[in-house]
Amino acid sequence: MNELNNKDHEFFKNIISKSKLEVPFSDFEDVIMSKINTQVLVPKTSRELKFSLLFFVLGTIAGILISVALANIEDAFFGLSPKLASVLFQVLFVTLVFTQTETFIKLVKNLKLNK
Amino acid sequence: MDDSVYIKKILNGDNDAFRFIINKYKDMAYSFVMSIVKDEFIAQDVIQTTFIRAYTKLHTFKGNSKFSSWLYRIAVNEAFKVLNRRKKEFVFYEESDLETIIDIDDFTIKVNEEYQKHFINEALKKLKPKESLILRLFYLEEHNIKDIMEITGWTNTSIKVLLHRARLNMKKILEVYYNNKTF
Repeated sequence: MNELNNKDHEFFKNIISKSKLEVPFSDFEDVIMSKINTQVLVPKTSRELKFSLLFFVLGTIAGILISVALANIEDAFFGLSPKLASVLFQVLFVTLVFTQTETFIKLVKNLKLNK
Repeated sequence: MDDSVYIKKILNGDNDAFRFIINKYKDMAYSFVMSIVKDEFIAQDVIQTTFIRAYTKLHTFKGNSKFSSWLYRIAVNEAFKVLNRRKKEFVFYEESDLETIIDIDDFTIKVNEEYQKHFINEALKKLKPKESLILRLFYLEEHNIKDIMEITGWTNTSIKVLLHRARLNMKKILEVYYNNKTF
């Protein structure tokens, strides 16, 4: 770099160093975080919630079918009488359905609050 | 702490870590975007889009380049996208308007610091987006040509040509301000 270029370089280094701008909005970070929440996180949760609902419905249907199937079995089932196996499955199934329904309702409520 | 620590935290769902990233890079990204769009409200929108995009695409950042270069590239691309979309008529400085070249010693010595800042930014606003951007990239954060290539996607030769033209035009604009005794 010759003398003129060095002089130029220093000149520009000096003046451009004074050209740094500051974002003139004090709540800038809050606005972005809020937008990330509404534009990215909530839709993502909403999408996941739809999948959860789908699998919940599919699981419930499968549970009902298994219950019906168990009620029609006449042979012993893993050492349990068919009736006992059917009752145990139904108790487990009903418990699961209730707890999952409660969780699902809570999730939907939270999602509405966040919106 | 290194950026990579914060990036890991963000990827693990720590949103406060992303606040740190915003705080660290917002002003520099804003300066670069302002070089291109020349309007503070449009620049704010572009910066917001940039950070939201950076958040959603963060998992694609592999660490092969500096995080700042990766982020500034998003900002620059967004800014040019908005600029092209709006087709707004910005008043850029035309080379034929001015003839004289400033005596650079005079400028730095005689002009008051605050006025200097104001008119330097005004002069940068009058430059074409690419010229204004290249000056800020090269001198403000002292990126080397390789970094600038990563951020802008321009070739080595076009960067050097742009830099030369930008310096020349910037000096001419400052000379006009100086001779008009605007400050």
